[in-house]
Amino acid sequence: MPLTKSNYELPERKEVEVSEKLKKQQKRLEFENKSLQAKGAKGSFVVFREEGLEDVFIIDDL
Amino acid sequence: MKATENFEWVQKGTQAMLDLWMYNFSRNLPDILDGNNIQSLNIFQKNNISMKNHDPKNSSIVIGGGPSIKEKNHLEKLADSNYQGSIVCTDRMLVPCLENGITPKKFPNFHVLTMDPYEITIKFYNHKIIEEHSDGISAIMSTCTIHETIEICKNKGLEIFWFHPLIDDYRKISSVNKLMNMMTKSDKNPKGFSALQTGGNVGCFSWIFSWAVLGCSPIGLIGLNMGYPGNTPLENTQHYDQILNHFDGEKNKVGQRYRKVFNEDLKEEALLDPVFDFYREAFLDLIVRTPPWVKTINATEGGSLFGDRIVNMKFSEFLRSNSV
Repeated sequence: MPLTKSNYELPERKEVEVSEKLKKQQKRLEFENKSLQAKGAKGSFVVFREEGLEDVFIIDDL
Repeated sequence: MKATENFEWVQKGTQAMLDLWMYNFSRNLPDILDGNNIQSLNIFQKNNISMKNHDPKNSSIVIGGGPSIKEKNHLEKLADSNYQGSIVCTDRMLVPCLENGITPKKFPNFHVLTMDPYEITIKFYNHKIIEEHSDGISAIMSTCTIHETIEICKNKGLEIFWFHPLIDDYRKISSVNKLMNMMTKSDKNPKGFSALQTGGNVGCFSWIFSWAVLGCSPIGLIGLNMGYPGNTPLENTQHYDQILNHFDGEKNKVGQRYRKVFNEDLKEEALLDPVFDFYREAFLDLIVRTPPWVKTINATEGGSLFGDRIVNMKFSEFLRSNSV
């Protein structure tokens, strides 16, 4: 029988206990990521700037 | 090409939105797979002509949403004219254009463009007046446009033409652009879709579309201020809150990211916040890289856009020289 998504049973995973210390660290990381995102100035879109492709405006065959 | 500090800063902040672009892209895929490629509008492809030695026959007007458009009554002037070229309208200006009588019936080569991946674009299309005029408007859409906007455009009867915004080095197999295009190949578009430089904002993209796809020149720019009058208080600038947030609310530090330039064409100062500084730097860098037949006329009559290969002109003068 071929192995497909429908007949493959995922092995059970034991739940990992997250220590208080790790929880705190995760929370902090989440907060940092969020504020980092909020802090950067954002434009509408990036400007395409790649070495050797400075004069490219349009590509029909990527 | 050495980028300034503001350029790097804004480019980095914007790059952090990759998640959002891909979120939008994946939700648009069913529409893209069955959609029109912007290439079908490309006159160089259609007529098999070289972009290098092109002899342009048509002009275009790029309509941005800067404050001078109202101050100088540019929409009224355009509506009253017998302008013969293409209308290349940024998304936020579509409804104001239609309301002012700038319609595809009067101006048959009518395009509206969206490049922003943000939610704000929904409201640009969610208006009754668009249904009355949708026949004859080509909607040029980035594959990373928020899906709700696409649904609205479809419901309003706009004909959509897709493009990929260029993000990274597509010569590399790990390129996001390359992967995006692989996913969009279909029987209808076996090679996927064309990808375009956007210049970071829809105003600049509209200018690129005008010449690189439609082959138009001269291109008249209106409403592309990319800056504020020199005496504008920083608090009244569009991106003030973003910058203030960056400095943890320390108002005295915000000014570090602002600068003034003296617009030599208009003989007046323009104030740049870092985001407009970013757009302006990109535009000025791109404009000198265009083929010699591309003539860019800044008819905004305000703002910060001046320099090599940009001719400043009053809009009424531009209209006079490009109308019948």
